[in-house]
Amino acid sequence: MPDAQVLEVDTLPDQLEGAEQVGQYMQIRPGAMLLRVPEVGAFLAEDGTTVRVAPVVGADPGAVDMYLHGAARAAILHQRGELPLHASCLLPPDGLACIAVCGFSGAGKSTLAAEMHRRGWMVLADDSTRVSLRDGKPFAWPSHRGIKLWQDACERLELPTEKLQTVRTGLQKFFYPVTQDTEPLRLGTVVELTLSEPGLVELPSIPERMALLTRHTFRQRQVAPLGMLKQHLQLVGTIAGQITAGILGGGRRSTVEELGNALEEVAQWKPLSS
Amino acid sequence: MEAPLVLIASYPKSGNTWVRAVIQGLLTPEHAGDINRIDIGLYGHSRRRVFDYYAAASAADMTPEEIELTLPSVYEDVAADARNLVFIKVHDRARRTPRGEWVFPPQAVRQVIYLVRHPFDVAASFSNHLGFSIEETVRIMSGERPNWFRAESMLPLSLQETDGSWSQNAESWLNPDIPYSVLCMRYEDMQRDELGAFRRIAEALSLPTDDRLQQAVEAAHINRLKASEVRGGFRERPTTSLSFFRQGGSMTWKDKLTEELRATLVRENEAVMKMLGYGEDGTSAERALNRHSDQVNGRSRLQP
Repeated sequence: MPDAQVLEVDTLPDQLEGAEQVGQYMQIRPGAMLLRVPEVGAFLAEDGTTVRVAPVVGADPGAVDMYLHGAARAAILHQRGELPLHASCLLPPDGLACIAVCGFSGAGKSTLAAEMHRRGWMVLADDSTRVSLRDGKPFAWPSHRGIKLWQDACERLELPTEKLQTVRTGLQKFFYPVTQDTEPLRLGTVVELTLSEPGLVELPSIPERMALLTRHTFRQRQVAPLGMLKQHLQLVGTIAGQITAGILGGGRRSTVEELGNALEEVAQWKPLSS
Repeated sequence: MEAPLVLIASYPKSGNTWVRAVIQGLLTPEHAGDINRIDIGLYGHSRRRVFDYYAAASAADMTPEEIELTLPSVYEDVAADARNLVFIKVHDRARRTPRGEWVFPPQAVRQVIYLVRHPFDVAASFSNHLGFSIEETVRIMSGERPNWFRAESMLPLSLQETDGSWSQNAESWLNPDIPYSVLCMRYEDMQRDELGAFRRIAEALSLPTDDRLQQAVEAAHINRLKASEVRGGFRERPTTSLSFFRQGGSMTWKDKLTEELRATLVRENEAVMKMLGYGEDGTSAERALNRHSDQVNGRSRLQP
């Protein structure tokens, strides 16, 4: 959890005063998000600084962890006016700025991240990348959770799984450790990995890049009820003005080597601004 | 919007895509007959995206059991946000979660269209679809699940489906005690009288039954869908299958199903086959469409 305090508590309120019910499980008002998941627990993310967790007795720790690092972490970042992007984040060897690869689940982001790691790229984050502005420029933050890879992806990449820790009990999905001992790094490019025909297309316009960032904002349903819509659009607009972006088709169709080659090509794109 | 979900439910290869193509043509006549513009159904990858949008965690991080428990809340949220009818293609059998809730919340479901097809024809078509031998396909239709059906070791493009055996699937939707309004349509009857069949479906959904329906039905004729696939491919075709649209007819199993396999299918499915008028010789008893299923007080009642 990035710079936030996580406190385990016995109970949390059933109702969050003044909050809007968002879906079946979430209550949200500006500054606070309460998530109640049956048989797992309650999570209260407040003011971008604190998450209180009240697990149900006997809850699966893996499930508690999933909501803590998923919906609760996203709420903290949204509350701070940062951008949790549904993307992995990679730095090419000798690169000055990193490339975020976003895409919906199943497009192959993590497998591609593992392939690039094998090629000597640094993997800053897998699945969700924290992006914030520093002196008005977008920076991507490292996470320390490793790449989550399914058994079949490990087999394709010829990675033995015997010594890897499973992500969840009951799932043949593993944390593949990658070292990312680094400061936040400048985000230079965002690429969307899609299931469409193979090919790489650059997005020349800012509105297209904004749409891409919005499309892959993690837990975007939280933004408006948190009262952060205006700030979110400003943030996305600022980032979109300072990155190159593109669409990489061929997810689940092209080989991971072909996708990796395309990403090498992206790494050669001329940066928009330094 | 009150109860916006319309479930187009069936065992695989029973006319589901055909029905979706016609309804799409009714909703957006400019796309009638374009198989790569069948956007209704929330099927394949879009189902996973919808789940990930509405659930508080990504399906990719959840166990199959957690996904099952979360589905009712996701469909309730989809219904709460709907401004128009939301069509959902379903190969699952009707069921409750281990917590006792219906996977599709009854208060959110306006109508179920349940499609059935003679299991001999299903076997022939499904075998081609899966790229499996006909023997293995018959075992799958009897409820066996090969390992690749399980979602613990890979991320399937769509969410995992629990379709059950051919009989379990039909019985689950045609059980008079389920809390949905179900219109059951036999594929064979739909072929005998396409326009009449789709008029019944359109009426059940309060969709237009005028010239627009006729145009949508004509544009989605199997020969046109096949030609469209030959021309421009079909995005829903599994890689295991050379073509998604085949003959689309009845008695397509001849030369494919041995006597022994036919006997297996009959043994496994006898009661449901009889109920639906499906003969052991692969034929289907002719009967008027409006006789074979009836809707009573918003519930389905199958007439023997």
